[in-house]
Amino acid sequence: MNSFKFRHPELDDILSFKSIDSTNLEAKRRRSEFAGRNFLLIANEQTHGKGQHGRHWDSGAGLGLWLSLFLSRPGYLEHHLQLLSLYTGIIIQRVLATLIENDIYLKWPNDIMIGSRKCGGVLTEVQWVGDSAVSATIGMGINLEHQTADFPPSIRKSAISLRQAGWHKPDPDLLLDQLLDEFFGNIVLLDRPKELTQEWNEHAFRINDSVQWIINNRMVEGQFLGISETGEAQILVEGKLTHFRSGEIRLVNHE
Amino acid sequence: MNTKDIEQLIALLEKSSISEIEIAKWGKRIRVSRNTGNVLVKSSGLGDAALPAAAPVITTETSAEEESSLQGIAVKSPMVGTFYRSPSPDVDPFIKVGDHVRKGDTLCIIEAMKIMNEVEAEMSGVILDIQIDNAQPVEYGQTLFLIEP
Repeated sequence: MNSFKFRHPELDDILSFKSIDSTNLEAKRRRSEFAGRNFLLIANEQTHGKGQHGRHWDSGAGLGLWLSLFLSRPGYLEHHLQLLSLYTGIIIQRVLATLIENDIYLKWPNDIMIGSRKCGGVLTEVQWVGDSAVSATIGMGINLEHQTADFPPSIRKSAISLRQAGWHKPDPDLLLDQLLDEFFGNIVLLDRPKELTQEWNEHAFRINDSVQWIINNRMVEGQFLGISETGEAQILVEGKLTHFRSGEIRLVNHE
Repeated sequence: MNTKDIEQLIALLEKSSISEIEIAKWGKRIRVSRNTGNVLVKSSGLGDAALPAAAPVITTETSAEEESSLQGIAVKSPMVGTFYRSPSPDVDPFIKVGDHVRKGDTLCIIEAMKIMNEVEAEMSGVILDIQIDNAQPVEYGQTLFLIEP
């Protein structure tokens, strides 16, 4: 396990695990203990890494950066949390763009792409009591060391690691350090939706392309026009501009 | 939309000669109107923050109270989104009718903008009713559950 010696002023503590089911799950299990503070949880291996709606996220030992930010310090939850997931994608995009030469894209809603292959993802969960958000748990997974055989056969053609993308010796400490600095240093972007969504669209995967989407179990063809200022996906379906804020929306033909 | 935004709207209204301002932002609609000397704030839609009422302000949710013959305290949706009873399609729901829940237990997920919003129980009690089906759209302020404390 890497020893993350540094501290960050916006973090109360960093907890590292050799192996854990999921850093998001651990953060949420301990949310009463963590209340009012910001934590980073990082794991060498996640045995039940999670994507959206409980989908499995393959996060093998020593192969990637698997972490969760748990945010509950006063002030953090006053930002516009609706854009937190998109914001986190932008932060990862910015950092990776300084480390590797390939184009890094953001694929709706939460995937980080190198070329047309997925190298990472974000899972944001916000905890509510009544009308108030009490904490936010942001899971990030970034593939670092994988060679082809390290990926399960089903995703070998669609996944990529930073090593495969040309960063020969990926340095998780350096990557984490930069991610935290960017994340905490730019958090006011959450309150500048126009700027934030514009930046997201500048790096949007297959923007303006014809794509197929799964919307509430129905497949539709449409043209992806990026996201609106409120973070909704804008899709032109049969000449009609449609906004989607929730439901199952998935870009499927990304090859 | 936070308290400061609403205070600014109220100040704007008070300075002006108009009787009503309505703006939509972040999926939430806020209407501030002059009404026999009072300023009334109405909000609906995506709840991105609690709306504590300033002194002269009456805050009203637009959703009507659900008609129900069951007693119990309503747990309402803090935002517009899609309601999910379980963390993933192939596992058991967080709760069923008749379950005892403890304060802080997760009751459901409201998904919006690809953020999984987990609604926690504000009190311990027994789930009397679940008033919405899985994977259905939900409005701000809509009753999700009834809990008998």
